[in-house]
Amino acid sequence: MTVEDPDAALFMKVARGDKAAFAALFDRHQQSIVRFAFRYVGSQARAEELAQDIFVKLYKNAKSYRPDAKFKTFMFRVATNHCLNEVRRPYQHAETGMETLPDTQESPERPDAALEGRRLEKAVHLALDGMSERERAAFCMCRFEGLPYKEIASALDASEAAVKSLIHRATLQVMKQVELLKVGMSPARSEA
Amino acid sequence: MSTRDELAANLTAYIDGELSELETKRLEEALKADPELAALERTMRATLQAVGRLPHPEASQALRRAVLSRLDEKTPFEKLRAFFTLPRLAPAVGLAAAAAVAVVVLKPGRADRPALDAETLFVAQNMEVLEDLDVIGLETPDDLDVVASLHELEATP
Repeated sequence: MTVEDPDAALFMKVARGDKAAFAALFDRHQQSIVRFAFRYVGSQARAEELAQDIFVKLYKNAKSYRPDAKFKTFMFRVATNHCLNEVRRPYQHAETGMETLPDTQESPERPDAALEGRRLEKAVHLALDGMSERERAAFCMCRFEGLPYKEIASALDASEAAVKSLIHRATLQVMKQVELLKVGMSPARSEA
Repeated sequence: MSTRDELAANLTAYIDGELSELETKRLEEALKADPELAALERTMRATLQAVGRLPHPEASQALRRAVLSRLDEKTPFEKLRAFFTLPRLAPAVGLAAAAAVAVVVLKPGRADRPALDAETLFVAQNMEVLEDLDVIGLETPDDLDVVASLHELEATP
């Protein structure tokens, strides 16, 4: 067992039917999973539906967990597969746009910062839309969850070199979208 | 891919602290020597820092309640397995066994078959020979004698 991973020990208890252990794991990781799902579907309500399914799936499949991988890696593998299946469903393509989240760092003295935040949110959303499934998964795990490349590689069943390349390509796409939006919005800003 | 492209491809991993010591040293030397590469690194770093500061959705309290209430929910496989319990299976197995017995018992046996007379039996046993005779145009086994004595008939002027 991975001694350094307390989550793995808790999840082994879940495999024996310990619901309190599951609740503890849920409390620890629910934000991560909602965040991760949100970057796939762009809606908080749908992200929470996906998070529900992912946690229920984790609970039901706890017995199949082998603690040779970190629990977080296992969790993100389940989450990635579930989110990918979800976005591959035909009706998903009709859905466009991403909810704008309230900026927690927004301050009345810095409306320009809020504008920048919304612009960046849009750029990231557009870039995520243009990424391959694996680029998107790798980018989200890295940028929003802070997973190291090694763990991302394990979650995606890929080599670290492949993950490095996926994340680099995804980052370039985000930079490109940011540049495009900057160029597109410059005249509007000068008129205002 | 040129050396510069290779170095640029390492920029994201460099910012993420994922390069080896040797790769890091090599890239840092290149950044000092190449202002364009250094500018790209600064832009990339600034973009990634800003992405990291984007607001995130907060999971609601309803999510916790919903998940915990679904833990005892059965998967489709579990529902199927729960359906096929012994009380449900026993009558079905009994019926299937009864049907199998009925088929064996009621199937017309050897005794019920019509009796064959000796001639029919002979024909059946020698069907292969008879078919051969038919091919060469003979109608009865007696004609075989004619075939056997054919050389004598041919010798007779």
